[in-house]
Amino acid sequence: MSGVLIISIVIRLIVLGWSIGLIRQLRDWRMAFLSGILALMALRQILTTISERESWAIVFHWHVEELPGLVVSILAFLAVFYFKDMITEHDQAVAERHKSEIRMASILGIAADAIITIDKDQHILQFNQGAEQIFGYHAEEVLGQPLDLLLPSRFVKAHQQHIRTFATSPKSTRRMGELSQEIFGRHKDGSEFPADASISKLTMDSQIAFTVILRDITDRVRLHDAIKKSEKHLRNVLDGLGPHMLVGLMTPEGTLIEANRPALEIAGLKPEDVSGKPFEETYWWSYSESVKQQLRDTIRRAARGETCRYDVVVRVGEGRFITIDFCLQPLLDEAGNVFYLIPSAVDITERKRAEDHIQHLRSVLEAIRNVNQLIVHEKNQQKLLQGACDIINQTRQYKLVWIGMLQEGAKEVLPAAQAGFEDGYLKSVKITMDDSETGKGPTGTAIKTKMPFVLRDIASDSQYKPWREQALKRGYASSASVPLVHENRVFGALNVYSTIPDAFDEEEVNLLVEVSQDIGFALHSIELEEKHKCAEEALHKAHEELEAKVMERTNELAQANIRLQELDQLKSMFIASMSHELRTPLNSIIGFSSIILQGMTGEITEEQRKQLTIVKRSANHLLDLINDIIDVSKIEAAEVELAIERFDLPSLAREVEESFTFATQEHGLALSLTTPKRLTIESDKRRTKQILINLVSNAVKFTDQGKIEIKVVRRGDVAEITVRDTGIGVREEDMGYLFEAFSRIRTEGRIREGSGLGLYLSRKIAVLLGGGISVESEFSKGSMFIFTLSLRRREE
Amino acid sequence: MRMKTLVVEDNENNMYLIGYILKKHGHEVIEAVSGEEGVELALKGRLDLILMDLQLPGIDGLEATKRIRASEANDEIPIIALTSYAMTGDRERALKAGCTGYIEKPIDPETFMASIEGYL
Repeated sequence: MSGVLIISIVIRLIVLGWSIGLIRQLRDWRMAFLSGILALMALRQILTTISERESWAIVFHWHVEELPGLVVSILAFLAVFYFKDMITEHDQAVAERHKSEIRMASILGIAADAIITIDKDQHILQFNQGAEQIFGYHAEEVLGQPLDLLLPSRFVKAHQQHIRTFATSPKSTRRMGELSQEIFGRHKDGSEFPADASISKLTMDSQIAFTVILRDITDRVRLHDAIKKSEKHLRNVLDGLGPHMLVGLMTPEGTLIEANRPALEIAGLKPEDVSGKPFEETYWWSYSESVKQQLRDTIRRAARGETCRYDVVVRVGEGRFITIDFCLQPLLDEAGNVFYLIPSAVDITERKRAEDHIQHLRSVLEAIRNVNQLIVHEKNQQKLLQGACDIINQTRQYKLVWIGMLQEGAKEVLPAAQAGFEDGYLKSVKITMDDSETGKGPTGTAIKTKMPFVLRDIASDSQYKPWREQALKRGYASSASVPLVHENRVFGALNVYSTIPDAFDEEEVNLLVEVSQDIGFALHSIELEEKHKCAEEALHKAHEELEAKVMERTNELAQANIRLQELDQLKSMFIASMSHELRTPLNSIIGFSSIILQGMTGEITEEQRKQLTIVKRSANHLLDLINDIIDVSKIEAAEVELAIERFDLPSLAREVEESFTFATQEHGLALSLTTPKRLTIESDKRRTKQILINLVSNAVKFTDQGKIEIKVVRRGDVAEITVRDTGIGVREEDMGYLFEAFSRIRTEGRIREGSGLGLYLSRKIAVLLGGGISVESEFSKGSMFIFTLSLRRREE
Repeated sequence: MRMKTLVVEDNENNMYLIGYILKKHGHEVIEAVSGEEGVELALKGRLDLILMDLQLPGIDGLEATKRIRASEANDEIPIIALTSYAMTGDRERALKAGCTGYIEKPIDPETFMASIEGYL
């Protein structure tokens, strides 16, 4: 017995055992057949071996004739192995199909969808439970009936045609209603319902059949309509939130589903520009990588259920940006899962601008306050200018701030102080006040015009040509120059540079103007103080000189005063002595001519009487003149003394009337006196008489014919004495001169004697006595002088 | 009634005029040409009337009047001052010094006596 034989036998036994196992497991007859052969082969081999009774020693010897047996054994093993897999797979497939068939049948039976099988003539072959429920027919009622039964009559024809077309098309399945969009079914009761259906064709026994699967979608259509309506409503709400309310809808993954109209319109976008795109890749965020990154982070946080909100700038056009208050809010379902994100934003550009403006105003005020504080305590010009530059530079954060001072002679401007980035710029700057290029720059213009000058763009403005290269090298893009003015005087200019073109708006310039005015005022004060010091010294000197002069003048005045006093005394002495010396001879003239005229010395001839009368009258006239002059001097020196006493005015009037009796008779005039019986007054009797005499003598003097009436009446507290004549009267143009000293009225006819002082004195004295004199006159008809006199002289 | 009248007057012409008028009216006239003389004469004899010029050499009329008035015998004798119109305050001073009245110079012979009698 050889080893090969033994191995063959072992293999065959293994295969036999395996086969039996498989038969039991698979119950496959092919396997049983194969196993049987193998078993028989193994049995024969064993029997052969036992009958040969060969020694075990040959086990290790090769017998070539036994090799085919080994090969057959191995092949049998492999065959069993192969069959096993094949049979297993086949069995599984069969089992699957079986299960599937069972499942199919149950689905067909119990599916909610209607499953209807029809033959090529469109007669119903199968009608499942779902179909019964949907259409309301029992299967028995419809089997064998045409499919048309289940359709609204208006679709029948088209439907039949569609199925016929489908039968010849290469497609095996088709959705129904693909062409007409909608399909409808018909209930048993005739009512229609929307349906979703598909049709498939199969060929059975060379006969074509169709299976229609149909679902009642009434609820779905209704829901869909409701959703559509509510969507439209929502869209209207979103779109109608106002132009500043920007809202969208996006998935938690960051895809923008849609954005409302304001959000699109603000950037001029169309829905298709943004819908379906990752939000951060949309136009609004397309200007900055960092903004996109921030948004990505925000979307991630929102997707976790967090509401995020921040202010951010978005792009709304080429070079146009707005600031928005951005909010990303997750929308949670009932289970708390994020199913949408709602991005919303409010355009707060205006608010931001307002906030910036407030910030700006604050810094404005701060700069002004700081400069003002500086001005109050800083009296050194250089320190003041430097301090102001520092403050403005800090507060406003300009690139460069410098102050140029107009030099003596107003020919050039030199930098006096500066703050900020300068890098030798000011050394390179030359500013003159002439008409050359260097005199037409912003600083020069500001100083010349006394108005602020703003250079919007240093790079392009021709006025800045001489300094442009140096300025651009240092990054100055725009500048403002403001004159330092106080009360129309320019001290210099404040110059400010910014790195941004057109950085100076009106407000900013106004701030600079205000600060400049303050600095101008301070410069003025400092200058004034210096001038004041010089002036004080000069004044001190002048004062000393003046004092000396005043002393000198005072002495001169004192001397002059002494002289004046001497002169005054001299005048008084002159008047006194004149009076005395002039009167003394008059005493004799009047006295003796009077004695002779009285006849005390004996008889005189008529001729002598006539001549002596002239002598006496002339002497009396001279005496009157002297007396008048003395009165005038007394009145002008306010030295008139009044001797107040009580007296009877009618008596005084009679006395005067009597004294004129002779003179009136002489002139052929009638003289009358009307007076109350008694009228006691308190006044200066002698002065009253003097006035009355003057008035009557004037009347006599200027009346050639007619009468003179004297009338005394009392009017309340006043006595009124009227002297009326029928004399020559006064011309209207002369009335004004009547009461002036030394005025003599032009008269015709005879010469009227007089000093020209009578009425002047009378009126002055009448006023002193508390009365007055007025006149009414008609030329060549007569005059009336009214002399009023207070009854009681008021004490002064 | 014949009055014994003292006329104190330094001006010769005035003295003559006044004396003439008084004598013509039948009065006795005693002449003094200075204040001192006037006082002396006034204190010496019994007089009815004194006419006193205020401007006199030596002591003036006011001083003379005061002195005359100072003697008991003459405290009631009429003293009529002959005042100057020009001199401010003459009249008041005259009355204050003790004069009975005053007559302004230059005198008017026509009214002179009447004025004197008015004060007596």
